[in-house]
Amino acid sequence: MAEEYVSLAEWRNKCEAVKAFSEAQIWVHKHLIHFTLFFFITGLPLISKEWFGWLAFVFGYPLSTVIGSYDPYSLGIQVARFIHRISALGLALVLIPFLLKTLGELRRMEIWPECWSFSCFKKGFKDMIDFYVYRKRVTFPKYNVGQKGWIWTVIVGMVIMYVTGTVMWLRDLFPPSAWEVAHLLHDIGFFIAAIGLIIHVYMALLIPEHRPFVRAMFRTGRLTEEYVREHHPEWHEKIEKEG
Amino acid sequence: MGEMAIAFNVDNCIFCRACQVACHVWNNTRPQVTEFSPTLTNPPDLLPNVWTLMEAKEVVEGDEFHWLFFKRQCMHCSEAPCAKACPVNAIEIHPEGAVVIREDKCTGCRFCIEACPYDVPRYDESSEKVYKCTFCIDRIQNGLEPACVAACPTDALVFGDYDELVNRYRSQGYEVYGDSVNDYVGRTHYIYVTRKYKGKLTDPKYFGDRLKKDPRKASVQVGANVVEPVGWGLVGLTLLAAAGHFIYWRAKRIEEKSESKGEKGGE
Repeated sequence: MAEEYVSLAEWRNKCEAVKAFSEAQIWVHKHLIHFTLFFFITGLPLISKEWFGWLAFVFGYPLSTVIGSYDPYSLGIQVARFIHRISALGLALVLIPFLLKTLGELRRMEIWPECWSFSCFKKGFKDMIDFYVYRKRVTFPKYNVGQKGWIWTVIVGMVIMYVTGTVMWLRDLFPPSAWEVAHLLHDIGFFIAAIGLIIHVYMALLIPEHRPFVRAMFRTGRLTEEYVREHHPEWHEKIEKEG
Repeated sequence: MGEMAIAFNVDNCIFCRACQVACHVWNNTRPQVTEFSPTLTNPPDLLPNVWTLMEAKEVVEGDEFHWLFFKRQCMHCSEAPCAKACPVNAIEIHPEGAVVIREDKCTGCRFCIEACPYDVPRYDESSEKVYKCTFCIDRIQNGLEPACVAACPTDALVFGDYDELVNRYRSQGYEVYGDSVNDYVGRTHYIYVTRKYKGKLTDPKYFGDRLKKDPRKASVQVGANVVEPVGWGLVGLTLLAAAGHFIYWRAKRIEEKSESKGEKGGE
């Protein structure tokens, strides 16, 4: 009997039968990481000059050796503000086509609550505590309540950061009272982003049970059916129903 | 030289505007071309090149009409919220009390404008920097009076030791604004004194909202005193919680593995 050879991609598709992330999602997530990194390293010296002022010297000193008459620290802040704004434009260029592509699929995405009642949210939180504290086996959907909360925090947070950032960038178009509110909300947004990212990165990199998802997000976008059945039975059920 | 103050005696001002002119001359700031307007105040507001401005206000008390003259410039606050808000430390607070913007360091971000409760710093679009009164720090550090004080013909402006000036005016029965304003601005090194309008310095009917009873920018204060400390605290707590959870999770996994090994061994 002749042996049947399959390509690596086909073999992977057979083994990792469940598609968790589209190529567009993988692409956007990758760029989101790059731009978030830029936002943080260029925003930190502005929000806390006492702790992160040294970053302004890092940006400004090399350039000040070329532009002689400029104070290195001030130059560093100017460079940071410039990169911050360019990063915002870059991220917008990545997000706009993604949003246009995703808009039609929005209702079918697994980011909505399973149901809207209080008891449903209560069960979601209880499931999270059972899993992350007591390590019990829980019937999670694709994303648990915490993960859905994070996705919505990112969506709403980005809108707020873009609106407030625009007010601060194009401040001549707005009254000073708007600058003040925008500045305050931008600062609050930074702290929410920082706290959320610490939890997100910790959960992704240091909880071994999440690793297949991380691999899927950074490589193939796929998960094995066995993993989905074991860790996300509600989602598995839904997939089976949909055929 | 210790902590200094400039006192503006409202009762003595004759609106000659010599102070305004002297400020332009000393600081080499090109004066504005004047225009007709319904008031005597000209130009109508502070500008990047107008660091001090004499304002004239018509006040009617009963049947009596009179002019009220008010000098406007940076108040040189001891707590200088503008200096705290500046991300590049371009605003220096001198021991004499002067709050000075270093033009070479200013990036024109305008965070100082957001923070100032007296609406003083002005942004210049051509140089992309912010300007305001310097308290003539270059003059006073060289033993001279500020230019506006030197030009005043009626002693409406007096320069001297801070406590000495405040005590002198108080002992003469003047109302003094500036020596203890609030926690946001501290005390101002430009002080306002009057006997004629005693009890009315912070009354909006007379001086508008220029001399506020409680000058502050709530959003800036919430940002600096609440959002930042609480935010950094929560960031630290999140890091600690993540580290704690990691240790707990790992210990539990090891425990479960050894239990399942034990069960297999028992079989």
